[in-house]
Amino acid sequence: MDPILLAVQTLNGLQLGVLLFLVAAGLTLVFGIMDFINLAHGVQYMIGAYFAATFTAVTGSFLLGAALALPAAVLVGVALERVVFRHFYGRDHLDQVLATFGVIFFLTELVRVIWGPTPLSFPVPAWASHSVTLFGGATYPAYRLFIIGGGLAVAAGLYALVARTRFGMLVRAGASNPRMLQALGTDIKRLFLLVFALGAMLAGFAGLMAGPILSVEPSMGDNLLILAFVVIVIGGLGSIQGAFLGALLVGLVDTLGRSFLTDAVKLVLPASAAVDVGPALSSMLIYVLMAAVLIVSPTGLLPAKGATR
Amino acid sequence: MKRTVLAAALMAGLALPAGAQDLRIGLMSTLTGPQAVTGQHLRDGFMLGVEHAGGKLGGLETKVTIVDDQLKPDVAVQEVEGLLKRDNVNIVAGVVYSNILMAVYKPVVESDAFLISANAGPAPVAGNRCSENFFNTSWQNDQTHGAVGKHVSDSGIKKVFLLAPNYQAGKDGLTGFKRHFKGEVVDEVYTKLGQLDFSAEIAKIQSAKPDAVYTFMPGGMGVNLVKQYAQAGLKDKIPLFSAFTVDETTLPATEDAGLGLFSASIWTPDLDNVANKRFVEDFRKKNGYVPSYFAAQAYDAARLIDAAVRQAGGVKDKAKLRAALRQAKFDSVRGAFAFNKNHFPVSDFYLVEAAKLPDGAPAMLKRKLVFEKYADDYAGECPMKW
Amino acid sequence: MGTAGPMLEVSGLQASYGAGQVLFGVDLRVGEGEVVTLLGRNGMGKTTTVNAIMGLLAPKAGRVAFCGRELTGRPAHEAARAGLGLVPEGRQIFPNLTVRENLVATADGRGAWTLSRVFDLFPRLRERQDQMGGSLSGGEQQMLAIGRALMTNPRLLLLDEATEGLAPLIRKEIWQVLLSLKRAGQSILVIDKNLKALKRIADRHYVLEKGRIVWQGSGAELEAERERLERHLGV
Repeated sequence: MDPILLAVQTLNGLQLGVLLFLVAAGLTLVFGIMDFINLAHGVQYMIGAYFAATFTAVTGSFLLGAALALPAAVLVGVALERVVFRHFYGRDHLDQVLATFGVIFFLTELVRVIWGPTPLSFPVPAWASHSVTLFGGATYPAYRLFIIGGGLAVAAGLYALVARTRFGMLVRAGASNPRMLQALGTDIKRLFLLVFALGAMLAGFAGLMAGPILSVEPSMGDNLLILAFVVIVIGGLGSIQGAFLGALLVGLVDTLGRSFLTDAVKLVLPASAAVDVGPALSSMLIYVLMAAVLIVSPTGLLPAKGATR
Repeated sequence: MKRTVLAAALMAGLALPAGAQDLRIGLMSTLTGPQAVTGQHLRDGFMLGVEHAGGKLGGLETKVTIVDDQLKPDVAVQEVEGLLKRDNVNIVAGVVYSNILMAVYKPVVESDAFLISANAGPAPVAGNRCSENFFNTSWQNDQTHGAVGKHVSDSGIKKVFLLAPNYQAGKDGLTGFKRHFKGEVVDEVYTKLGQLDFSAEIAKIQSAKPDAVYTFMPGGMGVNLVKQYAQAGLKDKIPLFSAFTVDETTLPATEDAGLGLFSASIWTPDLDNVANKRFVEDFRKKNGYVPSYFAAQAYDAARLIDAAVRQAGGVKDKAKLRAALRQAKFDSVRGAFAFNKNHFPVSDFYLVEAAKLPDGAPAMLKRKLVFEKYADDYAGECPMKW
Repeated sequence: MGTAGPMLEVSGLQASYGAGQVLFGVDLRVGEGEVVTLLGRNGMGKTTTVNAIMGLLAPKAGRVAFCGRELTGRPAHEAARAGLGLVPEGRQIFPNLTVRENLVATADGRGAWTLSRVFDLFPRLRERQDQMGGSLSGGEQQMLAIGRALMTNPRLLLLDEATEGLAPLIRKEIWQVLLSLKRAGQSILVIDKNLKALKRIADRHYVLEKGRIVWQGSGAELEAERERLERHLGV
């Protein structure tokens, strides 16, 4: 196996993992604390990308566009919480799935009406559009390194917020026993709203980071949402550390599987069959990983300890 | 929302004198979902064709009912049942995607109506399942892939890396390419349908060091691949050839990343003929964007219907109308137009490059002829005689 | 009887879980500085009464007033902020927070109770302050639950099953703490089955049966009617 290719693919896996973490973190908090299944979380990611593309085009600066897109994405999240989601807390999961599924349809079509069906152009900022030469002469896009760095920085900040602050204590307490937390004087609805806004911001951030490398189009969040659910199941519901570990695992396994599995299959099967079998296997790989984790540890790798549900 | 009634609406139809004919067309396109932009091109192209006939294709009051297949075969079948039974259409036209065409093919060709595909051209309906009630104004799917394969071979490229989504059309596409490419395939990678990040595949390409890459990545997948390929700094090192990936529907999103990439097509906006100049000019004026082959082929479909209905003196005599359709006496935007025995056109295929029109709008422009009067590879399997 | 007007006043309280009604009109009062018990066998509605007072369960009828404030049907955090400090059945400490975090997270921060005062009351919690709540023994968890409620500076402490399932030595320690709290003027409503210990600290007692208060009186009156009440209490 080519060591340079392996290193580059590891970076690719890390970059996917970091984006997945940003989306999964919000999803796992909302699910863990509010027991609320929010399928529309992927829409938050998509909206972040649309806002960032639009504001970047208007201001001519990626950083300025991002700075405007974040609060706008949070505003959409808060509005959704107040208008729709808040009425579904404590309801049956099926009700929540149906309601948030409806929100996906509504917002996806709304975005299509406002911005049109053509994918939006969102160029990589000029200061990161070059390739960096790594060890061994391999090149890697600077912007992807920027995503990895930015994502890890946000992950560190989020960890500090959850582990070191009073707000973080309330978030963790809420994840294990929201009823008791309320009986001790915390306005749980307000906490939910804050957590929701935080989740919307993280997903929006992921969207604006991903926008320049992926096409900005209405359905861009759909695929990622499924992966994010796999991540939080692997990591353990409600657990930020679990989401981080799960996201990196899924990112690496998916990327390395896509790059090396077909070649591995060629060792045992003829090339023509391997070309068929390899892609099929690699697209199943993360689900196999999820099943394996669930067999070994049904509550995920790092569950929010002692969650009462 | 799904029904647009053009020209003579029902009221006008009621006012017609007894015995007068009208023409009812069902236009099936993909108008919602991620691939809606291609369907929008197709619809706008067809409607411009109707407009250029003064709203009267073949001189008949024409009513076009537009339906959205949502890129879902079951929805398409339902919609086409409605067109045939409720709207009593004479012709079902349009259809962007092959899986949709395969779903509606049988119900339409076994009814009293004609089916005219303006885009989809899957192998079975060009070969042994061809029908006297089916016509195609685009191409058989393999042809475009084959044309790129021939060009890549002709330009002395020895080693290519192949990349396509892991579904039937992806595999067919690469097979079509390999039929006319004589060099070595260093690797053949199939990605998950709908995959949006190609970093792993791009790293594999870098490591495999081929002379060129050939890909078929329609829609958003292609936009992402093209952008990421350029970002990785590969665009100038390893040429990226493609089919149905870089075109006027995706160039607005890929912008500079797509410019300079080569593909093949039967039509470009800069083809030099009178019909095409009028089409491109009026299309841009009316719709505000540059038409793609989706629009051009649909425009041709409308012009074909116009000429055939006029020649057959109406739609009542189906045999007469079929004979007129086969003769295809209209000025196609691609220049000469003629049907093969299997009702697929025999067209010239050009090497095309993503570049800028004189006014700066990106489009696929003609570079050179690759195949002259290229008949598809399945026509021989079609038993139809005429 | 207690001093001035009642601090907590519950009247005609009715409540249900799903289709089954549990409380059929509970009336009780706790005065400033009083320690009052709620007695009764399992399943008679003691915890339901506490939950309805706290706002963790919406009552069907009746009212709950605390320090002149209407709490009926209000959410639990309002009851807590009005000055009701809950030590719930089963302790329900946050297992994924450290001992210190359990105390600090919901602390009020504006009253007499501080971290060091709680640690003085329960020295073991000081030793274990960086351990996860879930790693504590049952007795330590109960100490933590009491400390956690005190950190909200409650005007009335509600203890649901103060010593249930704890070792004798720990029980003794907890009763000792409750007695010292009483001496400091803390009002308490306590549920427990240990009548002997309760009699030492309580001013008055209520007996709950089948969702109604069937008896109330002082410690002396309880002693006088002990045999008749034992049927209800199941001691």
